Amino acid sequence: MKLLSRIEEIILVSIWRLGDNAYGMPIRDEVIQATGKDWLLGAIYGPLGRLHKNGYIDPIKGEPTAERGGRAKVFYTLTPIGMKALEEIQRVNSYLWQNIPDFSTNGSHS
Amino acid sequence: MKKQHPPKLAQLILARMIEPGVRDAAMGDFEEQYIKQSERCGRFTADCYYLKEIAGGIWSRSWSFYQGRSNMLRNYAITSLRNLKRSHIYTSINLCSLAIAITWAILVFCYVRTEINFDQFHEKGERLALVTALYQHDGYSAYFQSQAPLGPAIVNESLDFDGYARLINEEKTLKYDKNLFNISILGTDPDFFEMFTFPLKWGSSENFEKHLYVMYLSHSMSGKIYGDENPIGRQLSLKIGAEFVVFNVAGVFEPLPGGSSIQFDCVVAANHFIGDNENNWSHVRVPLCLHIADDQPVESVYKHFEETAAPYLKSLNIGKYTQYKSQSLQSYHLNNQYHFSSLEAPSSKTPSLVLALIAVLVLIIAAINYINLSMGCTFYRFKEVGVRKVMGAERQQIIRQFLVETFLLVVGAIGMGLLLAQLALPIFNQLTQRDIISLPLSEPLLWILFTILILFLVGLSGGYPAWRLSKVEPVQLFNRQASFTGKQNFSRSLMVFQFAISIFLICSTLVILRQHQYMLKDHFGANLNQVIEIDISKGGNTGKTGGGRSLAFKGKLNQIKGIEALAYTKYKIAYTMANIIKDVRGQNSMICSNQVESSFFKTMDIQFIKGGLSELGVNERAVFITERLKKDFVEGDALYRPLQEVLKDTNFCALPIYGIIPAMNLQYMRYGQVAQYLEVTPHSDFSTLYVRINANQIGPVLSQIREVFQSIYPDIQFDYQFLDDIAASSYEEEVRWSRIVKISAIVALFIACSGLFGLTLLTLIRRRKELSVRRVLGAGFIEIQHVISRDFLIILLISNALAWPTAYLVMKRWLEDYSHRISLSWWLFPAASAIAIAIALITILLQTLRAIQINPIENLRDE
Repeated sequence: MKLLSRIEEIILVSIWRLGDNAYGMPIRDEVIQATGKDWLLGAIYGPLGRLHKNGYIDPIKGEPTAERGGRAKVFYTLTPIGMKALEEIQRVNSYLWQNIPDFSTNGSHS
Repeated sequence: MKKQHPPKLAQLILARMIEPGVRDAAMGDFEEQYIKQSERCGRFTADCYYLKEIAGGIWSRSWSFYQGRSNMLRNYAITSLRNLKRSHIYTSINLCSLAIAITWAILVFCYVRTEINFDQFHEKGERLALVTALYQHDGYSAYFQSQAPLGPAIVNESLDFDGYARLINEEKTLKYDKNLFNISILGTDPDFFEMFTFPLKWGSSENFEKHLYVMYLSHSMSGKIYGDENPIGRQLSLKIGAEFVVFNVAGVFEPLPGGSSIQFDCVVAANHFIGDNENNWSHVRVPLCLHIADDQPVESVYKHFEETAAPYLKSLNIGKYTQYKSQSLQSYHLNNQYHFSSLEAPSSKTPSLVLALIAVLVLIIAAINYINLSMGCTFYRFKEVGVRKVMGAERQQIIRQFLVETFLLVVGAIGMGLLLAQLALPIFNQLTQRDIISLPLSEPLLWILFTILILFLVGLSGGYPAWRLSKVEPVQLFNRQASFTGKQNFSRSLMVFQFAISIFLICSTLVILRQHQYMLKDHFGANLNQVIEIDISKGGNTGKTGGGRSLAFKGKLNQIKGIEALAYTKYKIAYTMANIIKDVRGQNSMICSNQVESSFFKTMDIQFIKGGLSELGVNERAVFITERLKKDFVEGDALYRPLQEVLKDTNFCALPIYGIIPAMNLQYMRYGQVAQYLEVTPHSDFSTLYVRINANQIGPVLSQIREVFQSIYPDIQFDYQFLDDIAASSYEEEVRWSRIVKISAIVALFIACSGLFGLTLLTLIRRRKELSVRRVLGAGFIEIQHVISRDFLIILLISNALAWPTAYLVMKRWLEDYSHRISLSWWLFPAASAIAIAIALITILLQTLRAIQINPIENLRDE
């Protein structure tokens, strides 16, 4: 499989978690929640563009709303490739993390 | 709450950076975020966040989203900074000269802004109408103010107006405990508080109408007497007539906004000053401001004011030739028809225009500097540009690189300029007699001007060299003998222009300074610095019947040893009475007159041209005329004939003329010497005392005079002025202007020379091989200096040819405003050029000195 970068991974998971409401702003909020770091919107759109280019996600144009200065939202949904990639990520992560003790309570791993 | 939107310009920039495919959606997100932010933590935070997004865009590496523009911009910026750092000498020269030019421009902007905003803070604005009476008869016209009853009468009978305020401004003595203050008091009417926007800090305006003896203090006055305390209900006494009258403090104003024509320390009811004149229709000394009713159209009221006021003119004996006019208070400062005695002296548009012109000239010089230096610097960048071109850089990319460099420099210069302007603000305020408190950074116009400046400078200073350089073929660039290093005609013609401006400004400075000195020196009697003027009019009981105090004062002063002479006059010599009569050519001209004691001539050190005091008996009265009066009004002999007969006008007194004296007045010399006669009389209602003090004892004698004064006039403050100070203060405007022009000439010359400095440096480096060969072959310092400065000297000579005629024409026009003026001597122009050339040569000399210290062999060995 093709490996995604860390931020691409996080965004992909966020889009899946958000379901119907996955557009720029909430995605960024999810990323901020997950990482605890302040992300600029522009920094989200870069990886989003790459994910789209590689066929993991599909944009769907929404209705224009007044609070956005009359601009339409663009919602993202996972394509089958995206879904597959998500499963892959989960599999890789859970494989990597199995049998590793919980270091927050146990102290350092020796 | 209204929905906030991000700044338009920022939106545009951001949108340009984003890839078109997602532009719409992303922009929507940005906006949504902005609205959320501004609701949560205010607009400023939201703005900052938005800017951060843009900055992030420029610095980020996300190629797909930001169209790859970001990386490009980032690279340009890094390369530019490296370039600027590498050629730090040129960078700092450019930065300094630009920053100084921008500082000057910002200050001028502030000045023009205060001038335009003068009196604009009144909310009622253009509905405030100042009333003047224009008297026109027989080619002569004069402005008067209005009568005391006019305001109430018009407001009662005309629907156009619903409020009036008489604005009588007088100097009075204020007593607090035992301290005496001389303050300026505004006597006005209850509508004052309604009409003008002078908010109260403490107290209410209601008491003004209810009680007669209340006063409202200005913020600074209240601070001076009471500190930060609330003084309401306290008592102060004010000297009205001969008596001190007790007033209650009923309120304190907020600090006056800068740029107000109405200035005062304290406000009381107008009744105290108008007194008997309340119903006097022939006394035309009361400044009046009316409020146009809110339901009336402003323009037509101004237009038809004459008809509204016409009925009131009948009662006026000058009515036949007089018209009432009105103008709005807002237009008073810049478009005055008449100087109201109680308002601040109005200004005109000329100073603003001149200053703006100078600022533009200085900016142009700085821009030329930049062009010249970057043209010169391109010599070092042949290789860089050549390599770039060979590597496939497009012309556009190279131009863009240059533009970004200029942009960074100009923005840096603007930042420095702002800082310098802030620091120089107090000095500038002193220079222009304005009080600009802070730089108007919130003014959008300033930022628009900055943007224009950036575009202009980037376009002109960055654009031309970039275009020139990018045009050249790369192969030529590698060849050292490229045509580019050759003549540099463009640079030179720019330098001609630059020095022409500098020389022009130096010429103007010299002319203005000389004119100013001429006026100050040539037309006053000698030794003005020994004579003081003491105003005793506030003492109340002057006049021949009760004049006890003034006589006692004079008697006591006569016993003081250091006093050489003293004399009373009826008016201050700077404010004499004026009459208009026909002169020998049949034109209407002005004659001034004053009543003096016979010792006046000794006090003022006036030498008689003809006649004299010797034939005048004690207590006898006579008239002395000035040379000018004799020349303009008298045909034939004047001596010993009665004044009436000589002037052919029975309005004058019948006393005989006993002598002719040189021009004597301290009035504004700008309008020339005024024809004047002095009536010598032993008794009159004298108001002013002139005392000539022995030059060696001025200090002790002054304190003795003070003691005597205080023993006789315990109720007024001792106030005196030296005559030379009075003379100088009547030229304040000229002094100020000559100083401003002088400073701008220095700034211009400094900037031009810093450009020259850079260019010499470049020449020295470019020709270092040639110069080294010359030195090896035996050329000394002088020869080298000659070789280097020859080119520049030619430039300077050509710029003279440009500057002299311009300076001649402009200065001739300027001098025409003065009836007494210097002639434009020819040597002024070479002198100005000599100054410029000397400074330029010194600049070059310093460079050459440094250059010849390097061993020529080092330079020849290079490569």
